[in-house]
Amino acid sequence: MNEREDAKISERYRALGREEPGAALDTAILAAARRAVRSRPGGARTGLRRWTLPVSVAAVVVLSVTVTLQLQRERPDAVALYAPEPKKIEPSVARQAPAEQAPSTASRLAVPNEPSQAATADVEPQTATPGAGRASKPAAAERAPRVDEVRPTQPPDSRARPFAPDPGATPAPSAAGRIVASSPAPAESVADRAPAAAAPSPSRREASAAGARSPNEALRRNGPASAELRAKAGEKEDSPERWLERIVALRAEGRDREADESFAEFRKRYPDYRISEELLGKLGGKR
Amino acid sequence: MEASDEQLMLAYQGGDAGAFETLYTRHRGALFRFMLRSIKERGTAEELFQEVWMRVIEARARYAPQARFTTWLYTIAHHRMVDHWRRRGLSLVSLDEDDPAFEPAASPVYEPQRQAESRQELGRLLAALEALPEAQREAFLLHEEAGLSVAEIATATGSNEETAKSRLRYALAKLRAALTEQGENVRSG
Repeated sequence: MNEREDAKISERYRALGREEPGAALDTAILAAARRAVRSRPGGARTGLRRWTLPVSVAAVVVLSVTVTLQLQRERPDAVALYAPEPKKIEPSVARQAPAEQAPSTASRLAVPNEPSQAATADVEPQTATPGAGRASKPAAAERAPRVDEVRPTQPPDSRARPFAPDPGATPAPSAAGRIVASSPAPAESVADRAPAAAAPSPSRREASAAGARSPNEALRRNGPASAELRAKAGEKEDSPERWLERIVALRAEGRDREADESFAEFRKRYPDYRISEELLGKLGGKR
Repeated sequence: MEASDEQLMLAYQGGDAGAFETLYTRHRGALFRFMLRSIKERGTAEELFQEVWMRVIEARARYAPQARFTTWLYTIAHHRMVDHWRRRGLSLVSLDEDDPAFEPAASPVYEPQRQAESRQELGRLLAALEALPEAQREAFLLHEEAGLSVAEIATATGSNEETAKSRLRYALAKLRAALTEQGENVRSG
């Protein structure tokens, strides 16, 4: 009975009327449907959008790899420039001796210089790479004054110690020995390798190079060096502390004249160096 | 043989604008009446009707024929209606229960049609339909206009079959009462 009545309700409901949307509404909807098909959001534009991200990622990766490779290619220069290699710094420390003092030092030095040339030959290929020369020019020029600034007030540290041979000790062909003997020579080699780094101005470079060459020649000419000369040469290149210790030793041995001369030389070399009262007493000099 | 709604929608998905036109022609009247008799305001009904079709157009790329196109279409329509009621501060759920104050009321909207028909009977039916709770009226309209089964009504309205069946039963009972002038019995039951 209910089903029959439900059918009657459906019949009556359909008799209520068949309202329909207006023609304008139909037109608007159909036009929108056609526009959507023409614009094809699933077509070309979607394809472009689909490729945007992968292309961007690929571009970033390629760029990163390129930059990394470029940096790696240039890295040897950077290593040569910034690596704190003692062998390369020592020559610049050696240059701290004023150019005008070099000849006098050279005249007193009589150490055979063959090992120093060997050492120079060993060092040069390491730093004479084209990249190193190219890249180190500006930065080394910046670094060089820094080393110079430190010199007057800060006494040379352990890096300078290899320059101080024991009086009476013969130069050994070991690495330390080579470095000790080659102390004047690297000034030349560094000046030749990196002119901007080794010499701030051409005139200074020439003076420095001349000063550096002459001791070598003098050493070659004089042949075997005496212990005294070697000691004096050691004073020139030694740290202030070691120098003072040597003066104290001379004083203790009773070699007062040499001690006085050495101390006077020390004062000339390090006028600002402060000496404690106790040490001054041992040195026997005036403060 | 005519293409099914699902085939037409897939054809439209593939870029065939003519398929959409066919599909639209098939469903425009029923969907519009569903909207009109749910909302009761022609302007709002037209607005929602257009929104539903726009959603269909926009969602064509995601369409997958997992159910009848009609069910999918009226699911969209249901959601638009819910949004509409929410905007108006009304809730479809709160009107889901049987209304104890069920009382047929005269409607001025369809006066011209009623004059052409058995004025008294159709008037009572229409008034009873408009007086139905929203959920019951929606279930009845989905059944009558869209031809959905109870299960499909449940799917379209996001409810379970029992609820959909109950809503439809209540709606039919009230309309039946209005037609047979036995509304007093239905209300007391």
